[in-house]
Amino acid sequence: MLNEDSVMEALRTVFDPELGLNVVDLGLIYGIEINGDQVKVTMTLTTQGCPMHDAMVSWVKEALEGLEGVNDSDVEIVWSPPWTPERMTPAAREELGL
Amino acid sequence: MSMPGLATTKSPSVTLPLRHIATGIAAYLIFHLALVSRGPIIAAGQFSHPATVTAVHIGTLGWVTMVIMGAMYQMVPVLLQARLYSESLGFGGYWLFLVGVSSLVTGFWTSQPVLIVMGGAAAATAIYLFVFNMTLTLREVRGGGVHGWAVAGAVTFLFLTATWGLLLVTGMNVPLLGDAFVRFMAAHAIFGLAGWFSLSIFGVGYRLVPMFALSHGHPENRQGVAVLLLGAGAGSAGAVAILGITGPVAALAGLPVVAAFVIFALDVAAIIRHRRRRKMELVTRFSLASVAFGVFAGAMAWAGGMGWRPPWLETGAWVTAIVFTALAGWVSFMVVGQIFKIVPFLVWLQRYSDKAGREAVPLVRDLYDPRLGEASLILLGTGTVGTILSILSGASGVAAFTNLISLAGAGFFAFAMLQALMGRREIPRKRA
Repeated sequence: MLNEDSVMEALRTVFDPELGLNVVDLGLIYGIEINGDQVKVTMTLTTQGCPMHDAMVSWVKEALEGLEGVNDSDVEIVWSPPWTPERMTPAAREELGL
Repeated sequence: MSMPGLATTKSPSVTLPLRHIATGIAAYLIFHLALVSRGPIIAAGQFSHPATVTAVHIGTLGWVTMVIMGAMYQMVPVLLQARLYSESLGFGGYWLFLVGVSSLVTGFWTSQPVLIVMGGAAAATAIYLFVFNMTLTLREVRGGGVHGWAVAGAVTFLFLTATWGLLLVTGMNVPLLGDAFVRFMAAHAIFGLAGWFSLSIFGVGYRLVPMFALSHGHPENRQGVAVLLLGAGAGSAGAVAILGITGPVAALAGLPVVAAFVIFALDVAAIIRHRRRRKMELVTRFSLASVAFGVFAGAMAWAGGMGWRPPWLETGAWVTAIVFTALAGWVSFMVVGQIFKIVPFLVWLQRYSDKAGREAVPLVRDLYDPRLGEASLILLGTGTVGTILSILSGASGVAAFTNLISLAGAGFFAFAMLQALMGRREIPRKRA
């Protein structure tokens, strides 16, 4: 069933290849909107002006469109509020030694 | 994304930067072999000796310039959001530069004027092509900020360094420069070290050092001042060198460079204080060592510009100490440290980015053995400090031993990057 939990699970397969942590545990996901078979994700990246967002958008869209019930997806990268390590889960912070 | 500063759809194919950087790493090994082979001669300050000139140009052109050009092909589109003007020009320039530098250093080593002139002309032409490519790329930039100004300044000084180099190789064979030869050589070194290399490091370092240290909340308001002072100081110090002015006026002309280095050191210290990772990564430790060498080299250069040198050292040895600390310490340590991140990331991008999320792929850091990196830092640090001390103390014979230590360090670094490039150490991980 398509809901916020299933979307978050799908987003947990998208990870930062440098840090080895997924975008959910990194605290990059700001919002999820589900409208029928369309899903929109609002997210940020760890550094403002991050140009890797093209690849990240691509990976996130792929994860979303792999979900049953999703026919269309939209990913919006925002810079406010800015990401800080405090947005990470405690386990993620522990893994990075923060 | 923790490495957002390294890739974008405006970037060229990763082959362009990787080819430059891999070649630069090979040249770094050759640079250290040259230092081992002729260490005591170089350390004694015979800076006109063919061995010294050869080693310096393998290091400055084959190693650092080759790597920075490759890194800029990747970083400038990323940092400044501008599509590279011409990838073909980049590939063509690579081959011309490689042939030119090879011919030039062979000419220096074997004292063959024809090779020196032809090699110098080819290398300079390749550099002009790079400058042209970067200039047209930078034309697209809107609001590049401190990074844009640093890159623009660096490329300008690269143009000046190459032009002065061309004048020097010409002047070695025809009576073009006369008494001005040594002054032009000093300006050539200043434009290269303080201008091209240091502005490149400032421009890219101000983005990469905090990114790799996961640093947030550090002050950024001094960065523009540091870049401005460095550019102004490199220009004024070079001009003063051309005019042959020493003493207080030279000291004044070089003061902005010293001030810029002090600000950069303070900024890096602030970045480190604001880092969120408790453990300091290899790249961060290389950066700190680089800054320490840079401040020391800057202080020595400023004192030298005022006409001061240690009373027990000949002028040649004093100049060698300054140039070696700047090139093998300040510049090389920053470049080596960043390469430990950049090469594995570019390889990962090329090999795994389209597989991520679909199948198990390694992380970037899995692509090489981290123990090689630790060993390289210890050995390069020990060897470089040892060689500097041997030069400054006048015990140039010790350099034969300390350069061997550095060579070992360079070997570990090169092997680690070979692992990453060849994909020999891949540990597929489960998807997160």
